[in-house]
Amino acid sequence: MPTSTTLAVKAAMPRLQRGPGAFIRAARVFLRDRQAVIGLLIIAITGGAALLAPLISPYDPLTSESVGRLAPIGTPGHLLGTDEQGRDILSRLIWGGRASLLVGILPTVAAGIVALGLGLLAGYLGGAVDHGIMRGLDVFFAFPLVLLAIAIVGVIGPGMGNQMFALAVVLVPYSTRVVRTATLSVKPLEFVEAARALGAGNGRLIGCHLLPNVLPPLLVYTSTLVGMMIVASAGLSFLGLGVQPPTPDWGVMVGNGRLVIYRAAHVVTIPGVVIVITALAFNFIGDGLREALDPRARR
Amino acid sequence: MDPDKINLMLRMLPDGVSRRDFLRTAAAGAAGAAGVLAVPDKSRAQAGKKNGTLVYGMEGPSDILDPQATGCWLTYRVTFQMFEGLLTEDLTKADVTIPPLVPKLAESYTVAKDGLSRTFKLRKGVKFHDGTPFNAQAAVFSWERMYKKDAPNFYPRANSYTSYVVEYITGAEAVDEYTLKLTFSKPFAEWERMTLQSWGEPMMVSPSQVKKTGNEKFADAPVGTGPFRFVENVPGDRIVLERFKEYWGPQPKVDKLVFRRLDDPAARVAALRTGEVDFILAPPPDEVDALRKEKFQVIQSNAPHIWYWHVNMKDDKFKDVRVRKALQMSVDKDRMCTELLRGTARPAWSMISPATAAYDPKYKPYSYDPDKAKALLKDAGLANGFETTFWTSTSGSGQMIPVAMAEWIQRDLAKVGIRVKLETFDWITYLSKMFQGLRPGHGAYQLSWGMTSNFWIDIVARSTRQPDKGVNVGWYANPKVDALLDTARAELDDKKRAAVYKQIDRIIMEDDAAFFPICNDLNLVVLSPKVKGFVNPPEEWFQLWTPWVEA
Repeated sequence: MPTSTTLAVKAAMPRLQRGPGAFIRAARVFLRDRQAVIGLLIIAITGGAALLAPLISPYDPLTSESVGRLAPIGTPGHLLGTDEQGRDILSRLIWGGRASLLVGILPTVAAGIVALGLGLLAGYLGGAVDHGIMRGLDVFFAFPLVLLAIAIVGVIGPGMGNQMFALAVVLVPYSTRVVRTATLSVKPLEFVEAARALGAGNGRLIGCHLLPNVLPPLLVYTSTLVGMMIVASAGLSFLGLGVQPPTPDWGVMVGNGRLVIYRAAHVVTIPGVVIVITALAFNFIGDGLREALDPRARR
Repeated sequence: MDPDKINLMLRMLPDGVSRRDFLRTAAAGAAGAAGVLAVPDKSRAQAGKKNGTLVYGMEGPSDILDPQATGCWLTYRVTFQMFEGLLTEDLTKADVTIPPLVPKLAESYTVAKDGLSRTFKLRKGVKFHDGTPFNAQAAVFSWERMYKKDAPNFYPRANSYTSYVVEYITGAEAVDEYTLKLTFSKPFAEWERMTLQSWGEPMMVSPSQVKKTGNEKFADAPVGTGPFRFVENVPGDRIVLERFKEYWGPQPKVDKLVFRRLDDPAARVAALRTGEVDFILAPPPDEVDALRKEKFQVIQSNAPHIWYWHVNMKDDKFKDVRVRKALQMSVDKDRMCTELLRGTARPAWSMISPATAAYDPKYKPYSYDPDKAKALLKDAGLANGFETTFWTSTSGSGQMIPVAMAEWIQRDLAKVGIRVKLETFDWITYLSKMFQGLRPGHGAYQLSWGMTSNFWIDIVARSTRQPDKGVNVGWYANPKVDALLDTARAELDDKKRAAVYKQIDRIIMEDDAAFFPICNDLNLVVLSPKVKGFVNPPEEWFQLWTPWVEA
């Protein structure tokens, strides 16, 4: 992991500070990447559906339908069939997107913000502060990421809030390392030295000069992480550690559907496919962002 | 968590899953959101001739193999084949409502008129697996290990598990080489049946082996008198037993027993279909019809099992008996048993489990009546319904499919205005939380177990057994019930005792509506067509010396 992270970070590193036109240039490069656009579309659809759930969901995701349990795909009135409790699967997919997307995105973003602070501090101040922060985070690196999240939820109890907290906590070390590496790369550059020579204090250096150059690699890394977090949060929900029944959630749908996998495989596979596609979409977006923010790409 | 509390809860319950099992389950779940099915095990081919080995795909882990110091339906299915007690339940009979209580290592016994002593005439010519003889001295050793605090071989863990059957024992005496006398401080009518239950199994252990291994390590090299002897225990994977050639009774039909651990229901069914295991329990309810069509034998039994809720008698909504009665009428149990459980369970209306003397299958104090339930709630001033919190586990021995069932119940309750917030926990966490008692604002916690002894209701409903002294987690206290429980405990006449327990059940259900029973699991066993001679008795475990596997 360190090698490819460092490479990705270095690839996204600018050699000069950016100006306002940089955003438009980056957007153009991004939009030229077909995969990234597909990813964006997928997220727009799933996210949009989740947001508009009360308007577009064909049924209540909590009521058992008269057509009964385990209705197959294409049942009249129920495009994707019904689940092991007799609830409409399409409705639960749409409503479930709220929990699944939120628990995938929010902890990653929150961890990114915390990591920004910690990583900049560690990278800029160096010395004892750097050592203190990084050795402290090393404890987390010793554990497999998802297992640690499970252990945390095991201690603090299940529920969506706790699930998000646990995922945010286990992500902070990884994002911090990315920010720190980026900070260390930018710190010795001439423009930083120049700004210091012109009298800029620590705060201004970090806030105005380092931070904007550290954000792109963090952004790339975070968008890749979201894909992984969609899967991780589904895993926690699958184990009953996330939203509690009967709230719909893609991971919960997969977990509940296991018992009927031979009778009605669609109950498990449909949410499973949605999880995979959504995670993939975020990965595409991440790749696209890396391309768009790569200073070595054509300008 | 307080170790005494842990002991208490492990004592009460049919399962003793360890913390490492939760982590293992967690790690397995982390392997992917789509679920991972077990890979078929090719090593089955090396297990020996097909008709020599019987393989059981166990739906959970066994606890340690020291019968006196553990408690668990799953464990008993293993230790029942290796160990024997003075008496036993005859599990070779399926066409009975209660397993007959028959002598085993005792050929006969008498109970003194005052109920304060029992004298056993022991069987001669019985050997332990290590060749040492079973006699009154060995019996005294086995009992003292459980009850006598100042004995050199006393084992506190065994004492904790067997407390219900040893707490009144004042003496164990070898009157002569084949006569054992136990003396008691109080008469305890259900004592015999209670010694045959699944935790703290007071079975006879080899004194020379215990002296060799010490109390703690006996479980790693267990030695009893049963028809099978211990071969190996690979924790989390398999337990292997083999025929004991010098067994005093009839030889078992198979040479070897393998207990393979297969927690995941889908993996269990897959292993059955590939022939990797010969029989399983707890199949996913939706698979049962298909398994029947594929010519698997599906045998059910009226096992002593109730899936029920402890209701919070202290909750400001549920303390009103009208609310509790409304609860009893709010769930369509028939529909749940038919549609969700696919006939693998039967609706339950009483807190007396099947396979007991006092069980009456026709007793139905309530029926599904949501309108009446709503009227009762209106009387109680809750015409607009109310919110409450219920807890259950995500799995566990005897729990069936707890979350799916709780969701179903949650929906039915919403229809009468009881809006339930459901919280679920993994089995071990659930037990430790649940045994602290129903919290304020929480309406009910779910549990499932039962016994072939009606004494079970004493353990569940006596007012002195509230946390942390017992499992009466709903804080139920009715002095009339306590008094009747005392009467029942001392009543040595079987019919009279059954009548008292029936009376207790009526008070609990009709007057107090203190517990909310939902269904009785029919304890389905699914066997390969090659397995013959298997008996599924009205009990939560079975004997494995009558079945065999055809080539």
